[in-house]
Amino acid sequence: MRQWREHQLTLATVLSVGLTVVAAAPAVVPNALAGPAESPGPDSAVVVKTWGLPPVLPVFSCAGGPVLLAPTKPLATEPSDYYAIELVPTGRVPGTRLSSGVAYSTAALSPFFGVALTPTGEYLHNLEIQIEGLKAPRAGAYVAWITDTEISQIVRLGQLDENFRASGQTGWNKFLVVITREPSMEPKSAWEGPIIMRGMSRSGRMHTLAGHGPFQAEPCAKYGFR
Amino acid sequence: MILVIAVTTFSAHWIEPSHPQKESLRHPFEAVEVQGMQHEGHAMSPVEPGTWRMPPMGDMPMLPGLEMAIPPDEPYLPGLGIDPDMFPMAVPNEVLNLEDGDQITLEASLVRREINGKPYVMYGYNGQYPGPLIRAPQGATIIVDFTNNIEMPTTVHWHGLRLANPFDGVPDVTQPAVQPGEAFRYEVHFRDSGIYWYHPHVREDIQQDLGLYGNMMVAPPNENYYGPAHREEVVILDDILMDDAGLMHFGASTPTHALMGRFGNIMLVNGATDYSIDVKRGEVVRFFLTNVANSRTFNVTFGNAKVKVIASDVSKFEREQWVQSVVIAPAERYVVDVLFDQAGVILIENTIQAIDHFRGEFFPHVDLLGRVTVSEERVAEDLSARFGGLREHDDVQTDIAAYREFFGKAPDIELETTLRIRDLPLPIVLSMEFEKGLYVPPMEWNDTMPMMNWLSTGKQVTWILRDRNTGAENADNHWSFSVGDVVKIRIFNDPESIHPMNHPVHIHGQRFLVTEIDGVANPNLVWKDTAIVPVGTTVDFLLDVTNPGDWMMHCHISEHLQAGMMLQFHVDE
Repeated sequence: MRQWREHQLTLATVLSVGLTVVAAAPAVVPNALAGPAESPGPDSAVVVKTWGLPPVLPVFSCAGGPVLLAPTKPLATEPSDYYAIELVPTGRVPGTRLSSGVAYSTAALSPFFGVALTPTGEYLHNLEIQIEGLKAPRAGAYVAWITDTEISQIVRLGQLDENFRASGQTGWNKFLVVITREPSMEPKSAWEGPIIMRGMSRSGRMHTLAGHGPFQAEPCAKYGFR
Repeated sequence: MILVIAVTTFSAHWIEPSHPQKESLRHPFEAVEVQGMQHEGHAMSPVEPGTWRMPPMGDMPMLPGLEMAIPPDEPYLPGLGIDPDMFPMAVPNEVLNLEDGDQITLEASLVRREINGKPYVMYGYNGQYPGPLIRAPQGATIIVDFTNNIEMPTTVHWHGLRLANPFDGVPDVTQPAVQPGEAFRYEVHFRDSGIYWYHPHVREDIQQDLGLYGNMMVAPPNENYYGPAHREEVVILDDILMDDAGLMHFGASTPTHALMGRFGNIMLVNGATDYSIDVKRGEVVRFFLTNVANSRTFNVTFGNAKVKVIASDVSKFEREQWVQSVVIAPAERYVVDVLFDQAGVILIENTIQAIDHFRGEFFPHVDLLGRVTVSEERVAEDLSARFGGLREHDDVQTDIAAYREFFGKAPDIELETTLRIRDLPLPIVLSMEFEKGLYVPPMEWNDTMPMMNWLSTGKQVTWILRDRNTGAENADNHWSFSVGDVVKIRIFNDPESIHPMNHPVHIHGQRFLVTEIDGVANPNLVWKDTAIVPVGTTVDFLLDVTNPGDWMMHCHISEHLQAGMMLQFHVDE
């Protein structure tokens, strides 16, 4: 269902300003156990490695315990579903009521390979929208949008492809993902057709604790909430 | 309002009975004026000497049920109750330009510091803040005769250096802790060029936070190793937690703030609050940044100046890269070049989106770190054209190319990060469960829950690095490698734990590459010794095992480390 690698690699490349592809095939193939012999390279600040032949396969042992070999079931490298956004059908459009969908949200890569931020510190979220159970519209197109929680700003992510997928990126802290059926394929600044699915970012679950949970007795009005 | 504070009761076992400072530290009573309420709702007594004060809460109300709560430990501050004038005034650090074979002395001692015009008793190396900047050429070995003249045991860890194991500074692993009044000789070898730092490996949450840190600048033999710049600035980023009455107490036997780590509310650059430099228009300044904060990850911005990142912990990047900000986690280092081509004042800031969990909101927050005043006068040598290009670092690429064979291998070790809590006050547990169901960010940029965080100590919180295949946790892991091994360590930061948080993971005495996050290949590699593992992500470390001995791997949030989040591995020759 997911196509993380291709999508994120593309975004990572886009984010990496000035990036050029480097053919990095080693001249000499190293081995895990054959220790590197170091010698000064042409640039004396650099250590160039040359490698001997592999005597045996690598084994990593726990001292006093069983030999620890490479796990047979590696930990999945796919992003956690924790930040995934469930897309819920509105039931307003025939043929869409039984659909289901997810907008997978992951932190975008940064040049430092931690999280990527906007200049003002917001996370950059990669979005991968995948919808199942839809039928192609008889007319127009399904289009994915994101909007802030006040619906004061709207960004068109793009038309769903033939597999009902779309992708994009946002730097908003809290946001809604909206899928609409648009009467035409012409790009618009805001949707005109009916909403068929919508979902909210995990961060959107945060709301004031005044009057809720451990702060049940705390008056909301004191903090400007109604 | 007058708050009278006396020295705390020293219940900590680290005080040697014969230590000469012991008695002087117990001199009681000092009057401090409190300039306003920062702790509304808490029933702490402001007139009881040497008692806990909860951290400032801003406009966040007290969590119901915690009005009487204090951490289950004795409060501790060095020199509490003593007239700060009894201690020597710390001075800005000196630069020690050293050559191979040189010998220096390094002393940890109590010092007087002035922050925002107020005196505090803190620590210093050689009476300085930060500690002396050690400059040495790559390949050099120096001798450091260290003396401990603070009131608790300590060591010196030479962070990021691939030095001989006996000098790594880990108590009970590579050496006994240096007791008060005792000494230890370190042989410090500089195998790699770049910016490194030194700090204690005993109660970092106190000792490091109160000033025991310094940089090491290892010069490459090739003067063209970096691109051209007009000047170099060594910048240490830190924060410290205070209220109007002074420094917030630490736990005497265990750290407070064990959940999120201790976030400070005063930003320090090179130990001061007034960092500034004057440059001429057109100057290219190379900043060597080090984050020594206990827990805070900074997002450093330089106004509208053009910034490119050059290097990080143990090497240059494969290629230079333009950036809009520098995200730097505790213990990480970055080298960035900044062009100041417009006259005026450029602010260096920590620019974040903080979270207020009570209000359920993100809010933009900016901490001023420093000022760069750019004059109208143009710099003599125009480097803007050369600055405008992005250099490929062939030396780094050649080095890393020898490891690409291993990028696709299955992980040798799989770790997950989680935590275990016990005996926390019920309102905190309920609140944690409530908030967990809402949202946990990939990174924590501010202390979103000051009261809960303060009340959680290392007695109640255990942070865990767990091997997913053996189930071994923290110190129960005993990995064994040999020099020449290339080991893939996959780390998953579980977002479903009771209180997930980002972890800057540090590996001693070796170097590693972050090859992938969530299965996505890193397009611009750099040799690291510390790297962020954000919440919900899976990060692959490719460890280059080059250095024999017994080494540590741990989270570099000081309170997480003290709360158990570390393990040990052995490397054979």
